[in-house]
Amino acid sequence: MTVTVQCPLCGARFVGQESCPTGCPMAGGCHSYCCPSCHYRFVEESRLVNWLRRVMKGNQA
Amino acid sequence: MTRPATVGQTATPLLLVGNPNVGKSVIFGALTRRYVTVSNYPGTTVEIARGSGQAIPGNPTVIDTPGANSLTPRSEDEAVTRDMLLAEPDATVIQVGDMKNLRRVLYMTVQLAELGRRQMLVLNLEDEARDLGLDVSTGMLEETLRIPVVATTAVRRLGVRRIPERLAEAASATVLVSYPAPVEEAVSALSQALPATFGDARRGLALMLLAGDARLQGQLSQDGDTATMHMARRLREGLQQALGDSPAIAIAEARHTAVAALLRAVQHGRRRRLSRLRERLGALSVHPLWGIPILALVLLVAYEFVGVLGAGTLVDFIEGRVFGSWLNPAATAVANLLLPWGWARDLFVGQYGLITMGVTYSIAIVLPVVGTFFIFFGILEDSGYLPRLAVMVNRLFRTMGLNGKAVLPMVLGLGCDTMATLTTRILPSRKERVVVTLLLALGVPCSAQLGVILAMLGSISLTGTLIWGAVVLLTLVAVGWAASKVVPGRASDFIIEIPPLRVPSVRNILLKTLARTEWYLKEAVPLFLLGTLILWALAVTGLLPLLEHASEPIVVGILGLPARAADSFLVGFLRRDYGAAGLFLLQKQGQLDHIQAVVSLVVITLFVPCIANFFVMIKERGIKTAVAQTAFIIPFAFAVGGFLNWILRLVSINL
Repeated sequence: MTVTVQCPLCGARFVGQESCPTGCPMAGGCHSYCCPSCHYRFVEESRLVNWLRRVMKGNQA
Repeated sequence: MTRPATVGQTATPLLLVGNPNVGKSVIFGALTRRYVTVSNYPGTTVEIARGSGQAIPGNPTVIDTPGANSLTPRSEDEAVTRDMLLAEPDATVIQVGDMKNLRRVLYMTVQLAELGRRQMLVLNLEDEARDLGLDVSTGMLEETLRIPVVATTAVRRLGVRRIPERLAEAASATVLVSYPAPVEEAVSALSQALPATFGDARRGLALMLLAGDARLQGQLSQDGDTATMHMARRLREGLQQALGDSPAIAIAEARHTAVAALLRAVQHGRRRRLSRLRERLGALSVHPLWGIPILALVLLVAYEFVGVLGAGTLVDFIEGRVFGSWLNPAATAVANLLLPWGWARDLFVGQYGLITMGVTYSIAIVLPVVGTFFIFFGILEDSGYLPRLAVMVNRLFRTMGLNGKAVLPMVLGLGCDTMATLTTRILPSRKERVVVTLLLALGVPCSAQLGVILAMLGSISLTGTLIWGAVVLLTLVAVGWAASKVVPGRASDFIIEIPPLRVPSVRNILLKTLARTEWYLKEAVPLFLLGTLILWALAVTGLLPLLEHASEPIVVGILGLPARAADSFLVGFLRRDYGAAGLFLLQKQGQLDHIQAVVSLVVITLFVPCIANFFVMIKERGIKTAVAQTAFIIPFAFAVGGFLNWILRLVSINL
């Protein structure tokens, strides 16, 4: 599933899976996103958090 | 000029060009479908992605250039983009721009038109532009520029399919820029003098040279065109006299006038304004003077929320009540019942037990502290204050003479030093990357460590807190300043998009905190357990008392701390927050007076990076640099702590 995320630092939106820099020694293992615009790194949300987000969104709608 | 090799394809290559932060990479991904190779542009550290355009008939090579604000370069990224445009004269340009910032987009369109480039224009982030109440008439823009214009929301793949469909219509844009007559005359003379091999790009190149593009002048001089470069210099000096101003300013003004006329014709609606209070507060938070009390207020709130609420109230309850009165006694009773061997009981519930120390430290002491810190950090992120903090810190960095871009890894280090060390890749020279890696490892506490530090500061006086902050800051500035003396070169510009101030959503903050807490539990708890296991093994084999004894001259003699503080520095190698948690507990047990608390905090802040950071340092900077930096940091941290202890005892300060 493609996840679109927004950088909390500069506000850029990007596709989460395509965000890791190539050659990063932690690629795939750090569970974080890297903003292609400002290089800010932040934690990838787990399935539990994604599920909760969907549930909370659903309740609000 | 060096022409980079192109992948063997039959169709004309495509160059993706645009301002930073406009979604260029997303469009690149959509066009190439991830068949990509990445390499450094020759002679630079700038990475260029090339891919086969799987979504385009003929599968042409697609090249993603670095984001640029102007084609008259002011940074290495912009220089590479301009050089690639010149090195790929036959390539079709796909200019990607942010529909919300059409003025900036069209400025580059004008420059591309002056270079005579065949292009199409992709206006991305259409949804955000509409949300802001902006309406851009792409039809009218097409009619005026006579190039295809496509509106997209690339992250949702909206409109992206129209890019390959319209590519065949790409053409050189028609934009009328009225330069002052002396500029036009100089452009005309210089264009004719430039080699015919530059073809339609000559007008654009002449304008760049007249605007004082020293890099281009150097490159063309290297190519043997010295006479023309002399002519360019003479013409520029003549223009300076005729205009009474810099030709660069006259050229930029004429372009801005042309762009403004275009904007009036194609953009309707006004950007919705923020409330006056938010606008005012946003401006004040980056003000050179007023920004400082706002920053102080933010730090005070952090101190109260994390240091007092998290580390005081929450830790007292979880560590004192839940673990101290219920869980640990219960675990001890079970261990006494099930485990007949003393060493095995010690392994789980002894002084260095996995439950009584490892789990208690990570869950009862550090988790409430970092949990409250994560909430606070989430609020900072979602309120839009973090980029403003970067602007404020950038000013400090300027005084240190460091590159403006260096501010980002330093701010990110407050989240995680390991990730921040990876981010030093964005710095242009190796020396700068080495200096920032050193500063990160030396004195930027990660979120977990900062939380525990705030917890300890919460129980000492404000003077103690200020002393800790001043010593760490002064050490960073002094080391940064000394290091910058050996870093040659001009500081580059620091450009960051500053989003408006927002009121954070409670739901989002809670979910973010949950995600970060999950990440902390997965990453930190195993290391806390490993650290405890090492301490237990050292204690069982009798090595720990020996180590404590061996470190007494430093820990007790120089730093004036109890011998048990050596345990904290030992596990600080694994995770700095683990080390800080040990000191926190010593303080809670009344084994540290206020001077000892401040000294130990300074040492653990300046202490070696955690093991994960150390490995990333090796990976990024090489084993020699990583070991050398660590070898510098350990004695340096003890030396600063020892000096501070000596001074504080000398003046008999009451903290």
